[in-house]
Amino acid sequence: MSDASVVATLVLIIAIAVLVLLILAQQIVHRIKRRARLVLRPACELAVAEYLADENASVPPPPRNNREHVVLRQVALAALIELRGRERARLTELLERTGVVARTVEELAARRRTRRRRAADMLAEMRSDQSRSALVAALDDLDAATRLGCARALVELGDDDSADHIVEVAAAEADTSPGAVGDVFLGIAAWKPSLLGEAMSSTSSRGLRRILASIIGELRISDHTALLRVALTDTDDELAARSARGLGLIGDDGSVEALTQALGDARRERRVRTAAATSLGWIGDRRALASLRTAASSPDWAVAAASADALVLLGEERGATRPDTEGGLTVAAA
Amino acid sequence: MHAYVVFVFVYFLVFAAVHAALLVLALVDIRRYRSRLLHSSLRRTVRSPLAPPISVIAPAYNESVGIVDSVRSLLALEYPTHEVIVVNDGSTDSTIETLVEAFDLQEVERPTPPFVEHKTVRAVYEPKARLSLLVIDKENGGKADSLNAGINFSRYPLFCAIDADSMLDQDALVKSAMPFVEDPERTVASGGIVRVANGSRIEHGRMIEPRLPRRAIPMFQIVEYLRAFFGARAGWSAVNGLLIISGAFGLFRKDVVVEAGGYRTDTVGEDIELVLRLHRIMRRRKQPYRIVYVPDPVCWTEAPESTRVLRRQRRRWHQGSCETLLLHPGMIGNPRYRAVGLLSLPVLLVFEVLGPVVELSGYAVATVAALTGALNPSTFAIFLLVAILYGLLLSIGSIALEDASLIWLDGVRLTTRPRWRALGRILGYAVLENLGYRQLVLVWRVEGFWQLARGGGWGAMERRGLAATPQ
Repeated sequence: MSDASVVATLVLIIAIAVLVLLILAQQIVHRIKRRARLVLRPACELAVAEYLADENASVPPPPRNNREHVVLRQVALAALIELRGRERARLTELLERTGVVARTVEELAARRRTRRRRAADMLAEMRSDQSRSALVAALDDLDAATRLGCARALVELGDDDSADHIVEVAAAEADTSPGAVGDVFLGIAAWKPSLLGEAMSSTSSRGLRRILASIIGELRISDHTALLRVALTDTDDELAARSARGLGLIGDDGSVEALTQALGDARRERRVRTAAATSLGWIGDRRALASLRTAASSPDWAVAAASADALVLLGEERGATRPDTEGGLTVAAA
Repeated sequence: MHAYVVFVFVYFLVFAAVHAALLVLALVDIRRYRSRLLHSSLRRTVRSPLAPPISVIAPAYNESVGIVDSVRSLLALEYPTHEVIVVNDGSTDSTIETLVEAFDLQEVERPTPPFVEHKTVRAVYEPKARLSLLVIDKENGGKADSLNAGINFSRYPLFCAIDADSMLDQDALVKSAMPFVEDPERTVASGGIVRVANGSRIEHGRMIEPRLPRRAIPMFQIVEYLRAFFGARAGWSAVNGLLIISGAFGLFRKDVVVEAGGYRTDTVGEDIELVLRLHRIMRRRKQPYRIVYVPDPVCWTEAPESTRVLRRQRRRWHQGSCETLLLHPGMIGNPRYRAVGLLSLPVLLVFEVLGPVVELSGYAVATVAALTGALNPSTFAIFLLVAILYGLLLSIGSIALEDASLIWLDGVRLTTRPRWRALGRILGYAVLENLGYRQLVLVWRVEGFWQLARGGGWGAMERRGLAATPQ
């Protein structure tokens, strides 16, 4: 045991020393890189600003090494967020002519998936035609996040030819990466809103329909209210609740009847009924008064409270329909 | 006696293996997080119409000194839609009057929603101006009770529970909400890292310059926090076995918490107990879910500076862990709860709850054995050295992980001053904590059992106040 303990002690001392050296090495490398970038950055920012300020300015010389390339890309990406129109296009042109876009495109074929994901993300910001074919090819990448990143980049580029492929790639990941798929469809909503309707009516994926219902509602895309009305009657309560909210946000007075039905349907989950009540308030159609008054005395406190709030929006006085707290408590506890 | 010494030795080996595995898992988790974090992630979240709105709930008890700055800082958080709900928990100072005056509040008539139970609400205040702020004045019932009141009055599907005297970084809400944006239906709760703010420069409820504290007690706690967050929570998060979302900063899905019945008011470990109930409910629902630790949203908190307050805090924490296990004994070792039942809870029981008893008794028995000749004194000394070195290895491993994550994620450093000195100090305190501090904390944790038997409560946390930190 004694020998083993001595060995263990030595191993631990070596492990601690290695870790400390690792921390120090990490710090040194980080500091060197950071210092070099801090030195390069002001000149790079100045060159980019001068180029953007003067339409006749010539393109700055391309980066001479990897460090300069990284700094130029960082500066450009930070600027692209703020820029619009002609200035944005000129900066993208600068990135193309200095070879930054080409190098980022090369990274789309990197072995490490993190690099590929980041490349796709950066290309989405750059919106360069030079990256189009590489992005289309990378829609078949092995990594789902890279595929979705490329789909988003192509949406930003407005690539009509690959629209169906983009929708297909995004739809396939709706259940596993709903957030990233939502981002792709948010872009599609701004580019080709009709694709949202097509995807909603053709898909059988519950996850995708939920995402699309949210986007249609939150972006108030009134062309697709008919799809939301259908989704409101779906057996999936989450989809129905999102559709009910969407119809309210759009202010679709054609869905008052469907919403009052959802509100009065005791088999529906609380979230559907409260969303229906809230939306009826937002729509402001007095045809809903009777249903809301009934629902305002519902034993479910949340439904009653949402209905009471909706009645206020419809011109009723607050207090006349205050929900029964005790009754609600019973329901909540149950 | 010999058998007990062997038991302690085996116990130590298992402990070492578990914590080494957690450190490796933490590395995996942080790298995974890094690979998902893209250049545009935060900006897209901030602008996304799909980002779920959040109610930030801040319970306040006698916080009149710093409450206005805290609320202003919360209202200014970077997030598309959020409201701030301050719950005045029957303060005996002028907390409510200060708020009313500073934000031009008016009393409004609001029925109390009944989703979770809490003490009676005396009044509800809203600002006259368009400000997403709601102030609830209720009878004193403790932090958990106040959070329940906040949940009842919250309008949004997610709520963020924080301490009124803690400070969130400007982007902390966005970062902690990212798992909900990425995977809204499976994510149930998320928590960020809590850092010690003592010694830092703070102005108007905002961190201006992070610095290390001068005193030893908060420095030791910095090492402990790094070990807890980078060595344990990130590791447990990797296997969906996270048991604690810190009470100082956690984001939760309201519908699941309401279904769970809200925070329990009869335990001092309400944060860990709630997370355990969330695991229970989601397993019962048979729905895929995740409770995640996000390694870079930062919440700054004031750590105790005196041994008296620290002792009280550690006894309370230990009591909370014990109470939680007593409330959910059926989950321990139960395969139905996967990683939580089979790994996290047994580790909590064996190494966290019983650990102090085993370790202290190990010191005592081995000392007696060495003195009576039953154990070779040099073997005892080497074993003690190995144990201390291993503890040091875990601490330094966590520091290395924190350092790497700061570089990878470009996070908030513990200090903006030259890092070498700060790093040296942290490493130094990682060594020093083994020489007395650690043993002292073990004794306090054992006292937690006594407090549990007596049914002790929260006790008062004496704070100097972050907002009032000398510049």
